[in-house]
Amino acid sequence: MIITLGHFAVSLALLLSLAQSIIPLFGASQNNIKKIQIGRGLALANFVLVATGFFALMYAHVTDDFSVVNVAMNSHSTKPLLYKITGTWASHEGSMMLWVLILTLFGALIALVPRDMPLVLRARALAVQGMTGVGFLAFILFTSDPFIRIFPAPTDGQDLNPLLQDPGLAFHPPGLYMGYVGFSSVFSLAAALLMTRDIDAKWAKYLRVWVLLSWGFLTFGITMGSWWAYYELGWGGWWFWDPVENAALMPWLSGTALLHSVIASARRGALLRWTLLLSVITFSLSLLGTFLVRSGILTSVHTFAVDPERGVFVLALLGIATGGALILYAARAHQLPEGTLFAPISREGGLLINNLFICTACATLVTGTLYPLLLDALGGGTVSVGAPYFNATMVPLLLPVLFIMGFAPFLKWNKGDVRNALANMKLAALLMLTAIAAGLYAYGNHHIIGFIALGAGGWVVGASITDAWRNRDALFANAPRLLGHLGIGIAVIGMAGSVYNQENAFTMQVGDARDVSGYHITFDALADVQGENYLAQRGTFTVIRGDDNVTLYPEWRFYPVQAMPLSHVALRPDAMRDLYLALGEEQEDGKKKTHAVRFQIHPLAPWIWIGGVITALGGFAGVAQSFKKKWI
Amino acid sequence: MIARLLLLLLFSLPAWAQETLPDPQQEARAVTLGEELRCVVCQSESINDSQADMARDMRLLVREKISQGWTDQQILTFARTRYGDFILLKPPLQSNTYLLWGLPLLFLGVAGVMIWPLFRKRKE
Amino acid sequence: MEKSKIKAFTPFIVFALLVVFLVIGLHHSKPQVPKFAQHIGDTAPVTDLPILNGNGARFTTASWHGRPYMINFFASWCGDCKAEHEELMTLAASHLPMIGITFKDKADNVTSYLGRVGDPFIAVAQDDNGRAGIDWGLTGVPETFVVDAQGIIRWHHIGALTDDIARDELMPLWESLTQQ
Repeated sequence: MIITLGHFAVSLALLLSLAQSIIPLFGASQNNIKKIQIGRGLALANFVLVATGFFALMYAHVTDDFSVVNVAMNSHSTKPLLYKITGTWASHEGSMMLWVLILTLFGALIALVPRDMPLVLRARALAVQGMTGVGFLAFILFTSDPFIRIFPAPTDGQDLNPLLQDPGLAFHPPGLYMGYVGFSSVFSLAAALLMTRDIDAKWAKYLRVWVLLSWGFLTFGITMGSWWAYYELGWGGWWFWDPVENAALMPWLSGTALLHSVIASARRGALLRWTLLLSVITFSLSLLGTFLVRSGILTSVHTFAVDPERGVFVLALLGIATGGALILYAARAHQLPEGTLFAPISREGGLLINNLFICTACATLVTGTLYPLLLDALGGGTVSVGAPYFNATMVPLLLPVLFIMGFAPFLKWNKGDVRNALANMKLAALLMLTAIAAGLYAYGNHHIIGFIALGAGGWVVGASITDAWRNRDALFANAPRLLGHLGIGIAVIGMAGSVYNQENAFTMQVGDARDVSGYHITFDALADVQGENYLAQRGTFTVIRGDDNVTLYPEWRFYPVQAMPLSHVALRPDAMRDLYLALGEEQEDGKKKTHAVRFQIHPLAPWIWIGGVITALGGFAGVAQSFKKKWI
Repeated sequence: MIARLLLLLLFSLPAWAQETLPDPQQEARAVTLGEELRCVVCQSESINDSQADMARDMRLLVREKISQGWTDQQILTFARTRYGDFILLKPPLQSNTYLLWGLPLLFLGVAGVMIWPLFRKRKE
Repeated sequence: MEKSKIKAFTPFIVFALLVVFLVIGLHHSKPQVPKFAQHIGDTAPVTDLPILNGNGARFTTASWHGRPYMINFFASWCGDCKAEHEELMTLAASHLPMIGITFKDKADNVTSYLGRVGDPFIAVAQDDNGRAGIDWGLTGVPETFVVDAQGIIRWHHIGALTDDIARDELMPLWESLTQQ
């Protein structure tokens, strides 16, 4: 019953989205306030309808309704409640429901805030958001229906992949999609600005809050995903340059460029065209990412169940949305206000040069990710583009960004003074040198890239602290920049640390002791543990170095429903390093029962995620500013 | 990231051990080489990151060749003659990858020229 | 004015090109594991392996110089190998000289496996640690190669052989090789 209601609600949302993409457009061109208000009502109704569908699906998951194929395929009666809830979006169909839920959420938000947004602008943005909604609701209903049922219902489900049975699933996909899909609002408003004649260059301010909100969530989602991969996958990596990770990083990079150019546009009326173009590009990259993930066109380990029909559908949506917006841009760009010019040495100059590097990095990422595919399509041979390529290109492109981002905030708008700005860089220079010296002391003089990154991180952190001190009377007004830059600096220091990872693999049996990388490890005990829906062998290990005495409990788990083993890592984070211990399967070695053990030391690893979260807070601080300015 | 996971299930985690070379410098070389070699039966993973049996064989092979005194380049060439360019995660610079390696610089240059007019002339 | 209008179309044109490539890419049949077609035309690797139950006899590619032959990598633990086995038996009946190479398998298991399903090979060599497999650019089992009298790899098939593949690809090639 509830499933039928959910299905009906989503179908109705498709119809109403169609209305939402037409009626407000007429309202805007005829200056008919009633039609515009209808558009706002439709956007709200669509959100409620899609939410109904989404929660109906969640209800089916929570109540173990195995007559729903999606539940039967991805759940099991013994699965813990948390994972029944999060399992709603663990499958392709369910995650598309989350996608559209967030799309309509942003539609509803555009209908409501900010209060001072010009009516025509709001109307057109709602219409564009409605069009995207039509496309993706049709995608769900025609290719990825989560409400399909089977009779008779199976007595139990096939369970969710144990790797997904982790609290990370509660944070990573919703956070990531809030950002990824949130950029639809930026896209819609940019398209609305392009449709509207005689706009003021400073109208870019209406984009700002949406950019900050989406970017904040995207930063948070990527950070969570990285952290999840780090502790759940059991081999201690936090970024793999996997095509699907790249797909999330692309809109983040262009969104970061947009975040800065939108400030220059809103404050100074500069770079409006660039801002609008970046708005279109950023959401297009979200769509491109969706296409890459859902079509299976790239052989990625992340890919959901592959279906060429879905690929064609999303590609068509990408073509229509982005193609349409870019034609609109081409037709209207020359009529946009010119904006003010500025000196090369100025705040805008710094923003623009960093924009240049960030966009180049983004273009490199897109090219590198698609290159094997394009080359193959042209019959040019089979190549692989992986982590070593991206490290070799992205790192040199992004290092200058770090140096400029420390420096540029001390330049004045319009025309800055280098000497004046340099005078503020004392702490930054000091922290840069300290970080390098500390690195040399702790890790020795190999891996030059590690020192460069440590220095860059120290530089950015120092500059942010100086920046905060200078603006100590207006911390809230400057919070997005201060937090954003500080977080990046901290994260970069953490990333630099991973250059000095120490990884060890060996076998042990209970009672063994071993000295590894300066630590004395004893395998004290092994116990059988019964989890909620798994069996586990839990090891007790003591890891000692000097006064540092830790007990770690890694597990080797077995999930009977899917007959799947999983190594559950034991982590001991602290300010300077993570200790990371993974236990392998029991092996008969003659009469002995041994276990493979992985012991890794990850210097500074926690800084990566702490920095990522602080950076995300910078985005949210900008949103909070908009609230305070009574934009609502 | 959800999904890197899906593939993992296919593999248990056997024999992590007994792979490490005793000489830390040689081991470091093996790790670096492992990052540059793709696991041929996986989807875009390096042999270091993969739990597949085939990847483990390659890891052992790399270590064996290193302890036999092969250079990094010899090992990469060895892999490439057997599996083609596909096995190199860092594509070699050659006619079909000029664009791949050149694009960052090209983009930087073109975009740089395009934004130059936005800067105000110094004298006004 | 005109020039700036054209410039404004640049993003669209770049995007349109990208979409065209993606469409081609989507329709391009994409194997999960790429075919290593570059092996075809290469000289077969030097392989020297012990022969199963051969009392120290060895299989070497060099000893086959001057005669075309076929190599089939298989294992007793591999499902697809079982699936193609009947096809191998048919090929053996038409006197194709096939050398089987067992990939990371135990001699006892192979012997009992071949005893059960029949032995189509004129010799079975053992690649216990999989090194010969890597020399041949193997990505798994089963894989089949045809090498001509000059020692050049002329054919490489990944996965199970079927009637259709044998009839359409393997046999015509084999006939042309033996006629020379």
